[in-house]
Amino acid sequence: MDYRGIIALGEYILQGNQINYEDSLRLTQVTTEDVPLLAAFANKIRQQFAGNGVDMCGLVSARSGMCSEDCKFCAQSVYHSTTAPVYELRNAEEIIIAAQKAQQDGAKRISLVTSGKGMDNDPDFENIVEAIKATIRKTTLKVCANLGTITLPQARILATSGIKRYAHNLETSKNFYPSVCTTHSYEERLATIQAAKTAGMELCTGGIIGMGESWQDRIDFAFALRELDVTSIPINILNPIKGTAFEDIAPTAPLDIIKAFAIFRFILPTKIIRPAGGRELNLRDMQGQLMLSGANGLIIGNYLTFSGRDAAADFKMVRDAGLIPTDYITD
Amino acid sequence: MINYDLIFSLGKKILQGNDITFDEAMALTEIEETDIPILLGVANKIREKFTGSYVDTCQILNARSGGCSENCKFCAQSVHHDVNVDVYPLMSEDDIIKAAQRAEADHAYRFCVVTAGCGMEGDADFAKIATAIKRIGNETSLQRCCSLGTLQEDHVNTLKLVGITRYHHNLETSESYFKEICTSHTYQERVDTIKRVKAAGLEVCSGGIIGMGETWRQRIELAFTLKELNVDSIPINVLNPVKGTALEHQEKLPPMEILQTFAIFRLILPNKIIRYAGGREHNLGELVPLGFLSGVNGMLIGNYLTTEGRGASKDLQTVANLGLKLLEN
Repeated sequence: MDYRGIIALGEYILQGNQINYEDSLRLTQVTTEDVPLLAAFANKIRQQFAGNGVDMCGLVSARSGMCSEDCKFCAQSVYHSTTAPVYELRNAEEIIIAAQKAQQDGAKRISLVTSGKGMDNDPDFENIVEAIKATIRKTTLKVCANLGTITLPQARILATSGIKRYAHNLETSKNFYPSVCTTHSYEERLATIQAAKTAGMELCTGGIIGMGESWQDRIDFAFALRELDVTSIPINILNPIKGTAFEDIAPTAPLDIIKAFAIFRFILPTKIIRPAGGRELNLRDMQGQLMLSGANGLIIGNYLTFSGRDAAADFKMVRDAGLIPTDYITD
Repeated sequence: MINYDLIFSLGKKILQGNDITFDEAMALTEIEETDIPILLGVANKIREKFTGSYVDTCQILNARSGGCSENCKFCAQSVHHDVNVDVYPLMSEDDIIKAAQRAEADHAYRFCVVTAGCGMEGDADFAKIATAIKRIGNETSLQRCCSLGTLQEDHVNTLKLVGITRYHHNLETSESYFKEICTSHTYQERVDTIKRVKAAGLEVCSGGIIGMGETWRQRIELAFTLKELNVDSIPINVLNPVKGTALEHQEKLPPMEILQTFAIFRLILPNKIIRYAGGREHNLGELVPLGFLSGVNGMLIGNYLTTEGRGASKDLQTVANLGLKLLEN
């Protein structure tokens, strides 16, 4: 596709239309030379449909390591031998302190994350709910939860405890998923997403690029997210952690990452598209370009098992790009 | 006509080998902020088409620092300013050679010997500088440039003989704004030096500084003057207001406006080297790499004359990240 195709599709979306699957696939053919133009239209689409605010979210890891699942990218899986921290559920006080730290960093939103497949028959669930309530009471943060698979009754408990948004990734396309995880199915993930929706929560659902998936997988993945109508889409770029099955995967080229984010914006004009883990490693010094390529959210501070960069640098980068760090988008 | 239609129609015109007019360039200064990335993307295409994917790197050496008689308001080396800057006479020949070798190790394609002062007329250092430049040619494979202020014809001839291929002499800003920046010498003197150098068959590296309070029109005037003079390389500094200079309190330009300026320069000067110079780190922060997707195809690497750069290795990494290539000797 040459730049005229980019303009035509960009205008089509700016006029309020939805891009179809075939056209989205054609966008993956854009040459390196035209990636900045593709990104520029993604930037316009972002501005028109999602405004200039950038949703800044911090992660709080409440329980780490010893996960029964075999997700190949994950440092917390028992199938992998990594140096990721392992600890039981932290108490409410520790969780609140971590949340306050994120707030000091400038986050308006945190995601409370626990390792493990999910909450079914998990004795920690009650304590987590109490910790969530306490965090909501004692901070002004919006609190999201990321607890793995949940049942509908659990989703309802979370919703009534003040959780407005549940985080549960699809990780990749349905087609590529078996190459990433074999201990639970894509359908189980969809069932949790459905339970959260039924309970009235918004969804923060994304995944990871750069795991060896094809461009078509990325498009399939974006269309699955569009169909689920999720609110926020965190996109990690694989950080190949030593000891995981994916430790030797080569980094994705910065302009390919930018192209992927831009195409996601074409497919998902109104959503929060949120660069997450691995951006430092893979984009190196091209993160600023990402903010002008359709992104309008960030995970700030540290990730679950590896460090991010100083949150202040992200705030400066967002402002230098002419954007406003805020969470007004969904208020 | 919506704004970005204008960007594309002008882009197309340039890609087909035509020039844009002054008024067309002015129209590009008035686009909406949300269309700036589109302009950058078009500039990137033009850069790719007319100059390819090679980046021209240059390291400069402040071979004689401070004590300058001129009153350029931005300059830390002017005697009219009270600035905490190193002042030293011409470095020894050996030290100049060492600096050139460091530049070569930093993967610089060019090396530019710079001296403080108005120019070379009656300057006893000139012969020493010429000797050092000749020796750089024997001991490194660097392209050799120099920036010695105003030159007379005999200087130009000497420099040509010792192996200089390109002479650096900025215009700094537009003719209409120059008197706000400097009153101790004239714009015409600068233009005359450039013409003298060009007439001798040497290439010219000439640009200036943005963010000194000039208007958009004045920036465009500068670009068209450079086009008219047919200079080969255009270093664009973004003011880094040094404490103690007359411009120390000058307000920063917004980063997107800086990138827009680089892009418009690329549209006006499609086949020239548009070169990142000082102040980019200070003013653009993390958006520095975007310049290379906005029409820039050259840069100073390492430190500047009186301010520090971000380090050559970072710049070389950026170039590699973007799939661009370095010009090599």
